[in-house]
Amino acid sequence: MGAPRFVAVFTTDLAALVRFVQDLTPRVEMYPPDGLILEVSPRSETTTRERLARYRASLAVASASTRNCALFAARYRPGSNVEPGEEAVFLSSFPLSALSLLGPEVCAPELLETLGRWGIRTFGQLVSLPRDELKSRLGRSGSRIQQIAAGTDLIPFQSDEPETQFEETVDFDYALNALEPLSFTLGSLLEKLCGDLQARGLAAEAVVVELKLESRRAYPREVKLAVPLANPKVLLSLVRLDLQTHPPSGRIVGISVRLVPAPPRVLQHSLFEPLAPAPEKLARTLARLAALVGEKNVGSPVLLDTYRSDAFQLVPFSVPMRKAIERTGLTGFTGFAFNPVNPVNPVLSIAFRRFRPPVPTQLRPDRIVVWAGPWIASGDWWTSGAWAREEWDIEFTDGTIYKAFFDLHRKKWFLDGVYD
Amino acid sequence: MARLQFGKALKPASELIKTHEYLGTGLPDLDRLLSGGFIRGEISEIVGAVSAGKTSLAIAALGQATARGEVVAYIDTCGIADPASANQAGLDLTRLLWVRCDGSTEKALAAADILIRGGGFGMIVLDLTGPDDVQSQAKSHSHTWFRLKQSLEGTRMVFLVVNPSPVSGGLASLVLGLNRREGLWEKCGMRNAECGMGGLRISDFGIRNSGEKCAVGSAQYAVGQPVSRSAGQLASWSAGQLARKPHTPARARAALFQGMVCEASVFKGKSHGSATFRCSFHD
Repeated sequence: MGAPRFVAVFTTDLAALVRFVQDLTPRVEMYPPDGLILEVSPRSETTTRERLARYRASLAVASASTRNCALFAARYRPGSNVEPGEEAVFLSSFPLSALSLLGPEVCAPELLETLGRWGIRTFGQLVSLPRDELKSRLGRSGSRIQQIAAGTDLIPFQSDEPETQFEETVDFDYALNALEPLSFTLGSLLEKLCGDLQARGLAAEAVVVELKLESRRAYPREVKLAVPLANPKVLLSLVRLDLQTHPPSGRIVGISVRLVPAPPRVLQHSLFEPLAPAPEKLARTLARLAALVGEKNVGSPVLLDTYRSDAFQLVPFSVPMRKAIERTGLTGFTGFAFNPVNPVNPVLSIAFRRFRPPVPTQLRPDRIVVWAGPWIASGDWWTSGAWAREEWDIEFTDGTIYKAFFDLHRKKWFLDGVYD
Repeated sequence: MARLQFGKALKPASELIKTHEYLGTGLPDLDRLLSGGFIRGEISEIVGAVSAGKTSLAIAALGQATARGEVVAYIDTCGIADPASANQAGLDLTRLLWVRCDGSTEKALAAADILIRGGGFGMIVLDLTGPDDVQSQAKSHSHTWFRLKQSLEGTRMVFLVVNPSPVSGGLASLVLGLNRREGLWEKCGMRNAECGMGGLRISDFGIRNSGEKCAVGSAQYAVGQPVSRSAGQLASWSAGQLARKPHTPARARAALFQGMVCEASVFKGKSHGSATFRCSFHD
């Protein structure tokens, strides 16, 4: 078969060239910003160069038996075809400045400057210097560029695997006006794509569905998963729930499905694992809840770092990775403050039920039994949402204990919530 | 005869003792009252008036579950849960799924059904506290409660319903009634007695003639004199400590609301009796 050959190409439209060369060979190394190197067999070298020439005549193409020689040739003498063993002779007349093509990490500018002061102008002159003495004066980097100038590859060819797209598209013969017939096609597409994912040891972290409507508009929907999954039935039910909740506005003439790949989550279960929802079931449960009450009403609360008392954010729910149950020694579970007088009988933390929004009220002293306060709180004074209030705890005659506040900006009383 | 003896060794399935798993509340007295805590795989209810400690107990139980590494869910019919106080109570918010139902009882019950069928949650709290129509709607869904009970059987989930009165139509295995015995208020100093919304005066407490004195603890006060905290008196002051005039509420200015003492009684369940616990603020 013979040693592989390298074809280097420089172009002004690298993205288009990348798409073209994927049909020529899967072994492609990107050389940004405007080049790439193909590794081909000697038998296919001629065909590859001919196809590149037919694709675009203005490409700068050269081939050689070493990667570096192909790069230099394509950049400075496009159209060259360097035979095996002739790399040093071919490169001997190249100016020393051509070494900067490999970048400052490989050939530092200071090194070139030093060689220039010595009177070295070409690759050939550099190669002719005694190796050991060059190494003793310029160190390992000097020895390295001398080998590069002789056409030797110090960095092996590294193929950049193109990003695999897990996407399928289907156009229908006639327009669909219901989601049920769409499910059949969707299911088969998801089955194929999940198979491709699983073959690569991957899962999907999101499903992107784009419906082509009869009105020629596209209707995209994205379903993000709490846990990466590769189960086509679960993905189908999630997409169906999403489309039922957010139906398209017209008839469907085509569909495109794309899975966003992600490494699957590896879970090692143990016999003493606490109860937790299975990822597939959890995804379906969350999708059903979102369809029932709305996406903005389902999630885990995260407290925000501010003095505003009701500051929180609802984030998508996912089961945290299991951690060892922390032992807190004397206090046991952290939810309780143990009474130092009677450590056996813990005290519950009092819970608050908050009115959203706060309820405007007019406090009637004859209904008040006990009150405590005020505690003055304020914040965000540097923004347009500045707030300031006096907070009171009040027990009314009906036995309810409220937290009320007097808004210092609006000059009104509000009920913030009730202790229960 | 041999057949009879052999038959006596076998017990019908209905006589088999059903064993239960429990999730403790973290309060030893209450756990003793409940024979271990809330029952897994059954409907339990906590009922009581507002400020009786229902939410505090429910949040504490959720905290117990998350401390064990379980994930929990809180179905909030009227959207009034407060994550900050729940976090202070020790509830791990990363293990909490909060479902807000915009005041719809039907959505709340449907969400409960979805969560129970989905499975995997250690505890689900269905908070139906809200306006009267929310509760009346909950009571009318008897078929839903029956379905929820059937779905729960055989699972390890604790399903806790929080409501002013029982709603599950007798399908709950446990109905725990809460009642607030007293609020805990720290007495305030004399200097502040006249500010704000008014101070407590001895005239509010059945003093008929001016010049008469009244005792509060070990201190003596004249009519019209604001009640103050005596030197050395650090005990909590209950609003009902002094004899009030008829139809006159005892208005008292306190320095701090410290919490409350609640009493839990088993309305329906295997055990009987009551237990007392305290709810207070933690730093």
